[in-house]
Amino acid sequence: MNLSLHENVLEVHGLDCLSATNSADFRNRVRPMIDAQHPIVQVDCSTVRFIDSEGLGALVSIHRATIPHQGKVRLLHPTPLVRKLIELIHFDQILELTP
Amino acid sequence: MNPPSSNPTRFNYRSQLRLEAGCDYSAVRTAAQTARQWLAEKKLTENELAELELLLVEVGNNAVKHATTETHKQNIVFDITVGEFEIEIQVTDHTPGFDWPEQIDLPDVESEHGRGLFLIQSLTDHANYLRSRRENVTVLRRRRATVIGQPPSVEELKRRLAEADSALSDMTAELSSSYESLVALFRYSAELGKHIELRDFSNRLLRDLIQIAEADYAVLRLASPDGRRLETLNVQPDTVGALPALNLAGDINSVETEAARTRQDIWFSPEEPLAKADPIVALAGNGCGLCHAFSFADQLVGTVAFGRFATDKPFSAAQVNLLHTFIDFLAIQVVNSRLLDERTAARVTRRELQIAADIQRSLLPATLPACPPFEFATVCQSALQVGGDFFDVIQTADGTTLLVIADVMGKGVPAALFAAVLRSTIRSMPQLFSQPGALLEAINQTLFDDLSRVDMFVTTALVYLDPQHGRLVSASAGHCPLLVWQPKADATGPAGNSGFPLGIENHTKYPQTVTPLPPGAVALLYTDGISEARNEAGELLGDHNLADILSDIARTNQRAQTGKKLLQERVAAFSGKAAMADDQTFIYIRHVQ
Repeated sequence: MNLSLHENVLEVHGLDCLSATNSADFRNRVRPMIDAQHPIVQVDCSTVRFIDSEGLGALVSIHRATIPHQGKVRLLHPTPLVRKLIELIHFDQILELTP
Repeated sequence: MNPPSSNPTRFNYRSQLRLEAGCDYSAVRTAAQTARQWLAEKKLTENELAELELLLVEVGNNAVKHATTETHKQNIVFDITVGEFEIEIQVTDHTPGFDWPEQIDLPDVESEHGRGLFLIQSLTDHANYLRSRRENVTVLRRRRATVIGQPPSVEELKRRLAEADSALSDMTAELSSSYESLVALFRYSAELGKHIELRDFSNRLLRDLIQIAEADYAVLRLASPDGRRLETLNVQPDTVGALPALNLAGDINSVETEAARTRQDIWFSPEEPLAKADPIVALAGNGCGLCHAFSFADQLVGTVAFGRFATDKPFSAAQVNLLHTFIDFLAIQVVNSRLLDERTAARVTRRELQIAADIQRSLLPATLPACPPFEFATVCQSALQVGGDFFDVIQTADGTTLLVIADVMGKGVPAALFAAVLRSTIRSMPQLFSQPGALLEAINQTLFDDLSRVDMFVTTALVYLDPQHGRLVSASAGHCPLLVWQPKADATGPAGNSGFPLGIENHTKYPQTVTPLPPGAVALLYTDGISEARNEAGELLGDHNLADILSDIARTNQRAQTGKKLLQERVAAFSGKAAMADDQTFIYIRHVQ
């Protein structure tokens, strides 16, 4: 997983899965980088082949960290499974999905 | 992680994969990936593969989350069976497990946890969690996606036919092994709702269950109606002995009382033995087993304890599931039985009250004799339940009349029967009609033994109408006072004194009072249902108010029938919408001017 800053956006690349095995690491690395200058988190989901409930919980955690800075979480190019799960649990109400 | 293995002996008609994984997230994920690779060979769609991988991870992660230090050492076993139309996943873990909720809802969208079971439920057609002491089995099933493409070749159809044939044979074998359980369950289903002797039903059910679940004994207890005790209904086999009732508030430390208090399955084994004082120890020693408490509408119905004598092998998850199913049948039958008993008791009570009402009606005079210059009118109105009020009007050969009013303690058939006995006894002593005091004394002596034997008593007032002298001769055995309105004084007051009610003291003397009843005067004999009538605020009418009402009515110089009607209306007006709590009986007597 790679993190980079671009203007007011924190970009997350190279995730192949977001599950119980790496969700804590994801959370611990991303949350500290969210601040007033970088309130938007953009996750490239095109490479995410697997996500479970723990991974979905980690996305909520990131979303909550952006709220104090009027930020948001944007998921780019989610795979069909990720998109289906996001919609199934109504995360499309709080996360931005970009095809 | 152990390499994939297959179990061709049991499920050879379907493709099956068994994987074992360590109890940690990483091993679960690896097992799910391995399973996905294997499933990919079964021509499943990409969507199916992705969702099945997720299901395996969610179930496996649940086991990891609930593992303890000890149970972390035991592998999680994944059994995946791919059939022609359905995929089944069984995940066996050895953790303490958790309670599978009856309804699985999504948590708040901002919550970081609690979506695993929702995903499992959403992505399967059937999800079941069998929880046992050292083994939990999650069973998931989902239909296979329909793949539209080229029609199958002849070879493919032959292969499928062979698989189906083999599947049928194996399913027949499986069904045979479950035959006993199915037959028993069908039989119990058919018996539900019928009025079956509960002990016979539970005998059969416990015997069946002992055999099917390979138990050695079973103890069924039912909660007492007040919920304070567990009473033994059945011990199977009956050769193992009997057990005393258990006090739920007592200090006996037993798995049955603990299960009843906590409403949870309580397990016992050589590692976690029963308390020494536990009645199950005296019955079956310290084997292993469990006790299950069952309830209906949050009310404890009873407990069932099952155990094995000599082995420390606990019941499997499937056996525990079967136990719960059988006990559910038992709980329904227990509740049915109690409802039927209550309904029967209510029918008996209704019938008894009807009999009592018939008796009471038969005691009342069909017509009222004339006794000029006196006239009278009567009322006997029953409350919801049949009470012990009655009155009688007896005309003598010389044209005089004896008025009787009585209130037998209690309600129902016993009170009605004593009223009948009292009526007959009075009528058998015509020689004493003109001496009410002596008559009461004789009646008391006649009935005293019978009344004492059943701890009952009767209040009675007798009034002998003496038309020749325009007076009343009265006596009372603990009854409400005779009220008399005198026109000259325009005042109502009580007349005479009273002795003990009948049945209290064997040799009681009853004072006799002579009260003039001049033309225009009115007297009232009544039972306490009149003077103790209550209004909606719960206030009593009282003797004083009753006397005032009588004065109001009497001074208008109405006929007895009208006076009776007005008195009824005034008492009803006082009571308002308050329910009549007791019978209301009175005799309105007037000297016609």
